Amino acid sequence: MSEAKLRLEMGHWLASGVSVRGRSHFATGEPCQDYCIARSFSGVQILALADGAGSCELSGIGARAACIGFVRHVRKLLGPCRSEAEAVDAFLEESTDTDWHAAVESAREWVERAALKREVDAQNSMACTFLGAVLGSSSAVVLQIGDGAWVAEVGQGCFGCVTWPENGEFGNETFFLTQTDWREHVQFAKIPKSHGLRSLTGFSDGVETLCLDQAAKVPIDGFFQRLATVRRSCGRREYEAALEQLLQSPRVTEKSDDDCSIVAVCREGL
Amino acid sequence: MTEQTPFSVSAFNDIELANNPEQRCPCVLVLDCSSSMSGRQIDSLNAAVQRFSDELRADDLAAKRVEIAVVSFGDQVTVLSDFTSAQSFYPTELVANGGTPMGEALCEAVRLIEVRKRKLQEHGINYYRPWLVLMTDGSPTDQNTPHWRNAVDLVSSGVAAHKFTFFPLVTEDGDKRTVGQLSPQTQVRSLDSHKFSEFFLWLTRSLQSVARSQIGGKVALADPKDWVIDV
Repeated sequence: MSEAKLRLEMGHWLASGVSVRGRSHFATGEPCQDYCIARSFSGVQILALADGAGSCELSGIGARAACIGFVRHVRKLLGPCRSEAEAVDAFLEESTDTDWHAAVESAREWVERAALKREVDAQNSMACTFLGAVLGSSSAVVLQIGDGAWVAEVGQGCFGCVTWPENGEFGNETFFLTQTDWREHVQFAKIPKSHGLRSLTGFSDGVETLCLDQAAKVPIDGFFQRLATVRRSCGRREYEAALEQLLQSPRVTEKSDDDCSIVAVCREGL
Repeated sequence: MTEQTPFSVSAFNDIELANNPEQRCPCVLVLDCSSSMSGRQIDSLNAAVQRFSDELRADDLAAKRVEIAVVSFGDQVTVLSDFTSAQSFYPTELVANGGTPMGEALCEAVRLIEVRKRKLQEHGINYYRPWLVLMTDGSPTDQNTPHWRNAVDLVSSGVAAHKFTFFPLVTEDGDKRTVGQLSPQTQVRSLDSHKFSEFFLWLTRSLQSVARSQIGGKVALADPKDWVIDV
């Protein structure tokens, strides 16, 4: 199938992903502990985002390993049907959270492997939260462990949180992909074709304070709308450079000094 | 000549950012104002608390995020200040007289924490684990009353359930053993009574670290060697 025909059949999504080091990490000389991937493989969109725990020295490496492990697993999983739009959508719509636990297991295995290589314990040294999403032409599945969230636009200007940050009682506590009881903390959701998905955005906790109304527990529409509008107006590289600048600008850093990551897809031309 | 704004900066000029309230770090000070504290000790404690409030107010982030409450115990148990953000916390002068109703004061402090947490939850405001700081130079005079038994129950179960972090400090003449009953898993620190100021400086630095910490992050507190006499 030609790339153009495939694109037509799958619907064209514009993907993007940026991670920037927070002001507090600049100050301490620590690296960015977030990592994200936004890839398109023959029309299937795979998004992954992990936020390494600030308390773990090597958590940035864990975050990277988790994202790679997830993406690799999903590529393999969708291999047989990934160039047939209907097959991908049908697979996503019929899949269950148990099917996706295997993808989480893969992310965990990659973190374990990275930890083994450095002779450290994954749970103590490479703890990270995790957000993953897979999209076909119109259907999507999302999953999450810990904080951050997924926000979907399912009608023009109609934004809603598909997941919500899971914190402990206190602001500096969350749950990690690497913990043994991770299954108890997986948030999983399917967005069927009938919802008319227009955009999907995942972000790390550093971005929460910018884009969620935490009292009303709703997304800030004007934040997500602007992201999608800008994304549709320029190329991926230009958009990501602009977004990085925004996330490092005083407007943002006065509200959040943590690492910030945003992965997103939005439908072209709307 | 007008300078052209690059696309990268201008593209997001109209983006709407949320206006969430700052996350809070509640800290309640439970201070011994019994008659044995009178004279130099209460003067030096007043000066230390004053400096503590000045320093927190001078730190932009801590001023917004740290919330202070003060419960004194002596003649009676008094909530001198319910939780107030550090930027508007101006301490009331402590006056030393009476006994040491420490149990009752701790029960009141735990109650204040629970009420505050509920309020923050209702308003969707994130908070760090509250701190309960006890400073005493004596032995509880309500040890044989339900107040003390309640205090032991509330503090030990609160610490075990990670509801708050407990910092018990006892000066040279204080009853470390009895204070230790409050939470078997918490180390009672011996506070040099000439170093209230150093202790509050440490507390300021520590609260500043918490206020700066991120979700998912643990906070490394400074070494308390400046004010502790048993380490």
